[in-house]
Amino acid sequence: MQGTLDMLILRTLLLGPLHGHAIAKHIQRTTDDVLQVDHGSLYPALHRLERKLWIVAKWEMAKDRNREFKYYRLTPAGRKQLATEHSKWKLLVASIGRVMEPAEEG
Amino acid sequence: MKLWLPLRCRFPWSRRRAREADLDRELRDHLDLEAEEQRQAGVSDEEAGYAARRALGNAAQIKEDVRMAWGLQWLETLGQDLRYGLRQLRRNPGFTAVAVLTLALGIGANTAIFSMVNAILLQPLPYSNPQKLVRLEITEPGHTGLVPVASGPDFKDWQKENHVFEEMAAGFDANKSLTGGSEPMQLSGFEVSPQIFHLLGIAPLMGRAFTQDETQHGHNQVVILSYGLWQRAFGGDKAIVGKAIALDGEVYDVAGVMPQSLKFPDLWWGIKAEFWIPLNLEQPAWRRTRGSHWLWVLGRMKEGVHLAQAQADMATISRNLQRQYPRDDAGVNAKVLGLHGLVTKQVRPALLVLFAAVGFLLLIACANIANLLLARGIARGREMAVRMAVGSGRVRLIRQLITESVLLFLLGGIAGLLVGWGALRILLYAAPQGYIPGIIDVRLGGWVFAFTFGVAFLTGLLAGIAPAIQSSKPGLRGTLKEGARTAAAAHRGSRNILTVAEIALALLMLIGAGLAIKSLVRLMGVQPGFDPHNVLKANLALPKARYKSNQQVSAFYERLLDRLRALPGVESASAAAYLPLQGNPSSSVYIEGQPLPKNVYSSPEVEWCQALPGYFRTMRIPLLRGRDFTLLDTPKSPQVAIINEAMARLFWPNQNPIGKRFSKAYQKPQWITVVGVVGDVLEVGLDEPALPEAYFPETQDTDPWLAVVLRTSTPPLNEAGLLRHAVRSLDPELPVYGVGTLSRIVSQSSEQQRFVALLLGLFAAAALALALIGIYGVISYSVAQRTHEFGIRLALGARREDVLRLVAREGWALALIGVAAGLVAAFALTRLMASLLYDVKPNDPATFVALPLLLIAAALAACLIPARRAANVDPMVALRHE
Repeated sequence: MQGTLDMLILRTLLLGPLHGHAIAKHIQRTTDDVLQVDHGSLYPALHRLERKLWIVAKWEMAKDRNREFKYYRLTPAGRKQLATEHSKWKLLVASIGRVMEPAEEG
Repeated sequence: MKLWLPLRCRFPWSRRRAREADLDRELRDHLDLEAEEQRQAGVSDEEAGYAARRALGNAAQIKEDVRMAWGLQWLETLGQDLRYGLRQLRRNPGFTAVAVLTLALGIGANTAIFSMVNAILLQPLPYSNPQKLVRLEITEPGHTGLVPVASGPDFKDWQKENHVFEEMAAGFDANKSLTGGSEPMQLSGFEVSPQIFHLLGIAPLMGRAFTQDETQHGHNQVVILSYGLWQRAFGGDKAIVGKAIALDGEVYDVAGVMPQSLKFPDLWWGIKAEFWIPLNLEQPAWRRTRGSHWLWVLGRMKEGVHLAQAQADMATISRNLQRQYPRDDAGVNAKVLGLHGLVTKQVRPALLVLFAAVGFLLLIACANIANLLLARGIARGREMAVRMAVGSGRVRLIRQLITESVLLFLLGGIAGLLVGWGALRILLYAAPQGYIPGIIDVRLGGWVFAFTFGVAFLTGLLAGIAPAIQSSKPGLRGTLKEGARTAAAAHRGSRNILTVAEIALALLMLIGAGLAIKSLVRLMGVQPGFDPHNVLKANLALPKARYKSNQQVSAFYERLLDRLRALPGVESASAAAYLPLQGNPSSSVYIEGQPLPKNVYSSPEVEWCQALPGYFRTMRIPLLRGRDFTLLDTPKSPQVAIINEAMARLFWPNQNPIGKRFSKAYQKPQWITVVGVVGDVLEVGLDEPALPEAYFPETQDTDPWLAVVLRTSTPPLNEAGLLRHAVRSLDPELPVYGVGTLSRIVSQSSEQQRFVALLLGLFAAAALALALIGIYGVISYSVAQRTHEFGIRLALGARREDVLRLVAREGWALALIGVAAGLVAAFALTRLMASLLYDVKPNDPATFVALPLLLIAAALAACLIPARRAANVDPMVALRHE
């Protein structure tokens, strides 16, 4: 599910810069706890995406408190990658759907 | 996709610590935030911390994974593994020393021999397009095998008629004395066709090559000098071209000088070429005879022509010649042979055997080390288990163990390279004269370096993998609890196999060496037919220019021998045209009273030699019948000869040959009467039987080139100066060359076998040592592992001898299986070295029985030490030992 996690992270960051913990929480909340992101695989994923230059990281002061966190944001290349991944995902889901719920024959 | 993060991470190592700190901070922040959330959900402060940590998971693992994502991991890991590996090696100096030395030995020997194999067998000859160069040899009827020389008229026809050769050239050895300098020098060189240098693709350093005109009589007194001669005799005189020099008293113009890098093929008994003169195919008259074979012939095939085509063309030409000249060329077929193969033919079998031997030695060395590594791997089983429990990945562990092995083998490889370099120097120094073809330069090349390292690296990988995988198997909880004892059992199989293989290979090498040594001993025991001790020899070549008549030649030698016999310390002196073990010319003979031969080839051949009176006595060749030559045998008295036993047996079996007659020519026979019979001497070599030989008085069959022999009562070389003085007093312009002792000549003819036997013996001894160390190590280790078990047995009432027998049985089994395997291999493989053996069968029973017994005995002795240790174990200590 590595590719999927990457895609989810990119999508999450589309809305704006977040730090690691917030990304995990966002995904959890948005899926109503259905998708529990394994925190252990989150950070390797983040750093991998960073190396591929789809996201960039920067230490910034948090908005709501007096502390610095490492914030990640999407790059234009990342935006493009997200679009690609998203369309691939849609195709995959549609194909699986056709298998699982075939159109009525005849 | 960039592998490096831009700008920020240009210097990964220096940034590394910054990134690590960064990651730490990020993870700590995550924990804090998670804990905060937990507290907000109502969990107590303490619990929140734990909950956060649980949620995050294995921080160390995460860090590892992130580092992997950073991608430079492999370099970092490699660095770490190398440092760790080095520390390990330093901590176990004994192990490291043994391993590195073993490897150095195996790899070093391999490198040295492989360098030789590479230079001699694999590298092309130092000429342009060397694969197109061939030599032509012929078949002669009544002669098995090929004769390497052809006749003048045949050569000319080959040149004219062929369609496959770009060029052909021929040559013949030439010997001339150089006078006019401080000392007269005897030079060896060649008469060659003018095309020879172009054929080989060599241009002169100075001056030019010969022209076709210069082969004509009257125009042919030009000479080309070798670089060495130019330096030695003429001091590198830059104006040498065009100057006149005196060869054999005649004037020759220097036409050119060859470059230093020239390696002229030493096709004729290893003669080094010091000069070249044009080939004279017309004079003397015998050179025009079609039936007389004396020229070596080289050819360069045209582009696109292969050996088979050239062979076919020459076969056709041969057939035509046979039709045209049925008497002279009957049964004479030209064969085309690649030049490279010919030059290396002599040394190839020995070299390949040596190569195989060092290959086995290397295998044994690697097996030993693999065993060592396996044993150590088990010993470290606990360490591995702990590390894995703490979170090290299995792959990481395996990689690290393999790195350790590779490091060890690289160290061994470097040591091996040094050993190999040294060994090669020694080999080249100790190799017999002419053994390594002179035109080949044997050096440690880049290729060999790569080969050595390749071997070391590969072996390191292989030897490291098995223990690495074994040591890091999951399910090591057992290991943590029980200790190393049970883990040891798992490896038993592979270690036993390795030991058995070592013993088998060691036996194979021992047998090979044993055969070679036995062959050498047989060879050295061969009686040459004369007594070589305390005999000095020297060669003299009287030049035609100053010794025009036979009478002058005979007179000179007579006077010289008178003077030599008068010298103090000289017991007897004489001279002959050809000494034993150096080869003779042969001639066909016609025996009186026996049927005429069909042509010149079907008549029998005998070796030919001219000798002075007293020769047989000086050489202590027994005179069996009749008499020696005397001063009464003159040119005017009847032609006589002394024959050897082989000739007597061949032509006059069960008769008295004294008084019988034979002749060289059968058309107008000039009868020669046999007046004496002497014992056989070996003409060609110690490993060839004696050939029929006939000796003629120097006065009746004069040869201006004789070898003088002195039997001395003092060490022969002490008389050398007196000999030279005697010659100089008679003729100051006459060079004396080839000064040496007959003992040296005899030992030289077994030199090659001695060389091979020595090397094989050394390798076999090393292999034996390694195999014994191997079996000692394995049994020792096994005893150490079973100490607990022995303690129980002893405590339960077993006797010490029982324990001893238990251990011995293990060693016994290994040795037996190893020896059996080795015997099978030896049976199959020793036939490959048959060509190197003299008077010894490849399956010589004595060797095949004695050496296995020796090896078994040695292996048992090696087992005895650990066995004794096992038997003397104190049960109380053993029971406590894990």
